[in-house]
Amino acid sequence: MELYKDEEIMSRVQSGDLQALSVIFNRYQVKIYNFFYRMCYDREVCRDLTQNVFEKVIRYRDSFDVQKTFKSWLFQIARNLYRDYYHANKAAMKDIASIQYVADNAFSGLEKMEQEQQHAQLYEALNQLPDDKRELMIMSRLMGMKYEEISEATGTSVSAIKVKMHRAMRLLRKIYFELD
Amino acid sequence: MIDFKNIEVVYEAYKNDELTDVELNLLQIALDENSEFKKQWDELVLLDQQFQETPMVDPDPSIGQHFEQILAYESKKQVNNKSNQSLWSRLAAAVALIILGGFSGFWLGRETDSERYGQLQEEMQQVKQIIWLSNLQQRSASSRIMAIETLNDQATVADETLEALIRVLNTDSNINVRMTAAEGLYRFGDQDKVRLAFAESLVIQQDPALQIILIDMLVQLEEKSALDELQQIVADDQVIQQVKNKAYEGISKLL
Repeated sequence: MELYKDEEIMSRVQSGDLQALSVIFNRYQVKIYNFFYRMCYDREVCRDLTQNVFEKVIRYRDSFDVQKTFKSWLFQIARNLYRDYYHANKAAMKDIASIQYVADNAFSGLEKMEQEQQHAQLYEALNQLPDDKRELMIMSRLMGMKYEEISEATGTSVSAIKVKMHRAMRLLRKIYFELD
Repeated sequence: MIDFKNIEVVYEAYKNDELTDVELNLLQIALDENSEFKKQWDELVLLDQQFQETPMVDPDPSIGQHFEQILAYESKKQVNNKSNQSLWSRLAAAVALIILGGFSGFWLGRETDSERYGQLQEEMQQVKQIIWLSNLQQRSASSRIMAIETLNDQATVADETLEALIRVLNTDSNINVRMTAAEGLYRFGDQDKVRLAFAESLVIQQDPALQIILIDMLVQLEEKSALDELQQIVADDQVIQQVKNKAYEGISKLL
């Protein structure tokens, strides 16, 4: 089952094999959690939103069109949930741009000081991007999504995604090397 | 030919294997001979490397436990639904009969003088409503459409008017009248009654054009409670593919 494509697994789920969803969960739990983490840096919120994503996958499993890309559908759910959360909790949310990057558990152990420094610089630069550009960079560079997948997830054309990415990369590069 | 002045464009195209042989040659020349270009290129490469080397943050283990619980619950529900379907149908019919019988007995014994006066006042309101409703029942579709369009100048309308429009939406024989009713109701989309009516109407309507309009309206109104009806549309073999596609799209936007 682990070798099946996402869409094949969802087809089985829609035919009644609910347990197959565990494969989907294991594949995407970390990515979805990290997507939220890089958007808001609040672990409790990330936990809740990640749970909500997979609850919706279970509950609305029959509404996924197996002809489309599952990853895009999944991230569309994640984006919508984050947007709803953001609108409801704007005032209470952390100011992302002001977050000083602190090495968390992911960097413990054998990571070199210089590498940690560079990662810190990357995330501080990323945090200073406007939300839409930051989200795009996260989806493309951290989640490894192709432009076509991002296009499906966001409802924006591939050509528009490319233009936004170019601008996001330019801005990120400028901010990053100014932090140097 | 790609614009080499925009280095991010060149970089992304290179990463995605979109450069032609000629452009690849030009890129190599730029890297060899233009130090500023090379510097910016190396910066982009460095950023990408750092993204790739970034380890993921470990999620809270409770997420997995929560998922298993939901999955177990849903699996059990799936099994129970299949075995209890006929039982619930019989129970529901029995309950409906009891309730209907109860209401008949309740209303027959209630008429007093004070209630008759209240009823007269109510009847006067109803007369006004009847006049407007009679316009909705004109023989010609265009007259019915005109009656609906008289609401366009009103900022608010009575509940009875909305209910009448909803009835027209669901029962008028003419598709154009039903579409006009939908448009008329959409203006009052801030009311729960209207949004609920759109969702319920979605599974009643047979005309694909109107189904698509209703889906669009529900998405515009961000009516998440319509998700169940949209799922029904997707699962219905009688619904044409274009409407299903619209429903899929609607679900994705509302989820």
